[in-house]
Amino acid sequence: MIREIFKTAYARAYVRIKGVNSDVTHFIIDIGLPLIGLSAILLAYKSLNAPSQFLAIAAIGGAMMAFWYNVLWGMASQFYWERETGNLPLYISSGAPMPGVLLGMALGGAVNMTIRAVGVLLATVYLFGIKLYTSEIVPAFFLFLLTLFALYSLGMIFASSFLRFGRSVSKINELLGEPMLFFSGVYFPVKVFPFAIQLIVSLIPLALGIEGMRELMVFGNSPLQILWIYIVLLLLGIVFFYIATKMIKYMEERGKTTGTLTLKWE
Amino acid sequence: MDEVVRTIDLTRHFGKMVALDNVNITIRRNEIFGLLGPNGSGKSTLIKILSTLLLPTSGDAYVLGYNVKTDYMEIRKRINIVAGDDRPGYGSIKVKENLWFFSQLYGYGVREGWKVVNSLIEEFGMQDYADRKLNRVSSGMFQKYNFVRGILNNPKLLFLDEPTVGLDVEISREIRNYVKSWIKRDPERTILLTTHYMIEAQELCDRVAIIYKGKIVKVDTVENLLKLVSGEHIFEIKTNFILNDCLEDIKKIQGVKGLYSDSDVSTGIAKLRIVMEEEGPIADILSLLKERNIKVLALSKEEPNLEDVFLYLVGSKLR
Amino acid sequence: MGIRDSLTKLRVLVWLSYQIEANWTRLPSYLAYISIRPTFTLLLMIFIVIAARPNPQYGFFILVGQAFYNLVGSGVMGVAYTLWDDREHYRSLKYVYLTPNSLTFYLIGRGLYKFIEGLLPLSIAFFVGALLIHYPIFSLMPNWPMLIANYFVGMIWIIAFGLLIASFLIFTTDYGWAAVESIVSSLLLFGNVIFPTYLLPYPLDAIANFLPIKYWMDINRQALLGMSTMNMMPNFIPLLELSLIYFVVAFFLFKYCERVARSKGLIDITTAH
Repeated sequence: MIREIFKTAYARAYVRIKGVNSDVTHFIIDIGLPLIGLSAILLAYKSLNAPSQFLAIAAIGGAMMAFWYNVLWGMASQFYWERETGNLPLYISSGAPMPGVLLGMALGGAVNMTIRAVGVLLATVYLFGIKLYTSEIVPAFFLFLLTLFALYSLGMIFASSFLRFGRSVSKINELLGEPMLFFSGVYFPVKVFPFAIQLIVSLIPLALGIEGMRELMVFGNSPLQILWIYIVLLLLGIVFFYIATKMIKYMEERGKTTGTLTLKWE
Repeated sequence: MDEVVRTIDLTRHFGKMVALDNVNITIRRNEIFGLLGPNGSGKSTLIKILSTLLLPTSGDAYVLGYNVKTDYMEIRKRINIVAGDDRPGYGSIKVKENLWFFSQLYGYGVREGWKVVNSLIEEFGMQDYADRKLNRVSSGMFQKYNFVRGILNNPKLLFLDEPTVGLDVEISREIRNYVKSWIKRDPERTILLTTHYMIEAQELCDRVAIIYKGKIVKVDTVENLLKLVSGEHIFEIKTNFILNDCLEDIKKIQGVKGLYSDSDVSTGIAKLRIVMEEEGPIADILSLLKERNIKVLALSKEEPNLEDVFLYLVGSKLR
Repeated sequence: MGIRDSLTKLRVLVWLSYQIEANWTRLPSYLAYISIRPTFTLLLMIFIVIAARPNPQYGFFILVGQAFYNLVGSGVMGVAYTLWDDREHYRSLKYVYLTPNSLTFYLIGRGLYKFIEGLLPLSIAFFVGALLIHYPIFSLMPNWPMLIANYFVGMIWIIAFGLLIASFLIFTTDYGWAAVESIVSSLLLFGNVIFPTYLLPYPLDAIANFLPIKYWMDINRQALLGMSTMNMMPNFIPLLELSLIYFVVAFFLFKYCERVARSKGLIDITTAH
C-alpha cells in the first residue's frame, strides 16, 4: 500500500512539475506577478521611511506567501477543478490511492513553488538592496522543509473536502486566503498583534515558518533560540498529515453515499 | 424566399489544412437538410460559418438572404443551434431560469419571456424538473432543455448538430418527434441537421448532402441517394476476428465496390458490410475467408441504407 | 436596440451575474463572503502602517487607496472573467454570441454587477480600517457629488481595462489568469494606491501619469476630505480624458479582436476540460 501511495504520488508530482516547468512563460509569470505586488508593499514601507529591516521582513513573507496560495489554489481548488472537469472520477475509478494523488499534488506544488519563492526573494533582494543573514542557511532550510510539511498536510485536508463538497467549500477555501495571510503577518511582524492573537497565530504553519525564517535570516538569531518553532511545526505536520489521511477516506465515502463525488458544474 | 441557405464556392483553410473546399449548396425553405460525413469532413466548419461563428477564407454564404460576413446580426436574430455534445447554461440556476435568461437575450420582454418559457416547459413536459438547478438534471432532461433553448427565439433556421448523441433510444425518439412536429407547424422553418445515426438521417431528412474531406460529394433526397445503391448487392458477414490485410484482399476482388468492418471487442465478432455490383463475388469472398481460417458465423443479404451510399460514393465508412 | 430595451437587458445580465455569484448560499452569508477578503486585504496593508509608523495621515492614504482598489480589481475581473467563465466553465459563450446582441454589451452588463456588489466590501473595509488606525472618519465632510461622479467615471476606465484583457483572453485559454492578474497587480504598483507614485524609480514613475487610476485615487481621497470641486479639477479633467481614451481604444480593440477570433474560429475554443 505504501509503495502504491508513493508510486501514485510520484506520477502525480511528475505531471505537475513537468507540466508547469515545461513552459518558461509560466515560470516568468510565477515570479513576475508576485514581484509586482511585493514591490508595491516594499515601496509603501519606503514611503513611510521605515527601517530597512521591514523590507527584509516583507520580502521573506512575500516569498513564502506563494506556498499558501499554492496550497489553496494549486491543491484544494485544483481538486475542485479536477472534479468539475471530470478528472476526479477517473482518479477514483483507477483504483490509485487517493492519499497518493494528494501527496503527489503537494510534492509537485512544493517543488514548483520553492523554485519560484527563491526567485522572488532573490529578485527583491537585488532590486531593493535587502540584506539577509546567510550564516544560518542550513537550519533555515530545515525550518523551511518543516513548514512545507505542515502546510501541505493542511492543504491535503482542504483538498479532501472536495470529495464530498463542491462550490460552497470552494468559497470557504477562497475565504481563507487573505485572513490567513493577515494572521501569518506576511508583510509585517506578528509581534504587532496582541499577545492572545500571537498565541493563536502560532498554530498556523505559515505564520510559524515565516517568523522562524525572519528570526534566522533578518535578525541573525540562532536556531536554538527558536527551537520551539521547529517542534511546533513538526507536531503540526504530523497531526495534519494524520487527519488528512483519515479525511480522504471519510470524505470519499461520504461523497459516494451522497452522490456528490461526481457532481459537476455547480 | 425559397432559398434559406446558399453557399458559393465556400472555402475555409486552417493554416495549410483545407477544411472546406469550394462548397456549393442550397437549402430550401421548410426542409430538413442533412449533412453526412465522418469526423473531420468539414461538417462543423460549415455549420460554424453558417451560424456566424467563423468567417470563410473565400467564397460566400447567405443565410436567409443575409451575408454571413457582413449581416451576421440579422442572421443571429433568425437562427439557433442545438449541439448534442455541448452543455450550455449555468448549472447554478434553475432550468427555467436558464431558459428565461436566453429569452431575454433574444429580446422578449420580462413577462413575455416567462410566458414563452412556461408554455414551452408545459409543451415539452418539463414541469417536473423546470425548478431544478441545471446541474442536477439527467442527460435526457438536459437535451430537452437544450432543444427548448434552441427554439426559444422561433428560429427560421435551426442547426441541429448531433442532437441525440449519447442519448438512450426513447429520448432520442422523443427528440426526433419534436423535430418533426416543430418543422411541420410553420412553413417558414428550416433545419440543418448533422448526425452519425443513419436511422435519424433517413427518418428525418428531406435531402442529404454527403461531405467528405471538405467537399460536397453528392446532394439529393434520401430516396434518390438510396437508389444509387439499389442496383447493388449488400451483404453482411459475421466472422470471428479478422485482420486488416485480409480486408484489403477482399477489396481487391472484382465486383466489390466498398467494404467496411466493425469489431466488437467484447465478443470478438467482426461484422463486414460489403457493397457489390453483382452477387457472384460473394463465393470468392467466402473461399478467401476459408483459406485464411476465418470462421463465417453468419451471412445475410441486407437492404441498402445511407451508410452504404456513403461507402459506395466515397469508398470508406462513415464513422 | 432602444434605450429601454438595453436597460432591460442590462438588468437581466446583472441578475444573472448575481445568481451565479450568490445563489450558493443565503444572502447574509454571501454578503459576509464578499466582504471578508477585501477587508483582510485592507488589514494587511493597514498593518504595514501600524507596524512601521502609526501615522493617521499616511494611514488614510493607504486606507482609501486599498478600499477603492478592491473595486478596481473586482470590476476588471467582472468583465474579463465573464468571457473566460462563460466559455470554459459554462460553455455558453458560443450561444450568447449567437444571440443578436453585442458581445461587448454582454460583458459590460455582466461586469456591472461587480460595481454594485463592490460597494459593500468597500464601505466595510473602509470603516474597519479607519477604526484600526483611529482615523476620525465621522468628522469627514465628503464632497458627495464628486465622490459619486468619480465612482461612475471609475466604471468607464475599469470596464475599459476589463475589455482590454478580454481582447487578449478571446484568443487564448492559457495565460488568461496571468493576464488578468498582471494588469490588476500593475495597477497596484503604478496606481497611487498604497504609496505616492513619485516613489517609483525613473522612468517607471512616468507610466503612472498615463493611467486613469492615479487621478481617480487622488479624487477619492480629496472628495472624502471635502475638497472643493474646483480644486479637484486638475485631477478630474485628466481622469475624464484618459477614461474616455481608454474606453474608446478598448471598445474598438475588443471589436477588432472579436472579429479576428471569429475569422480564426476561436469563439468557442476551450481547454481540454
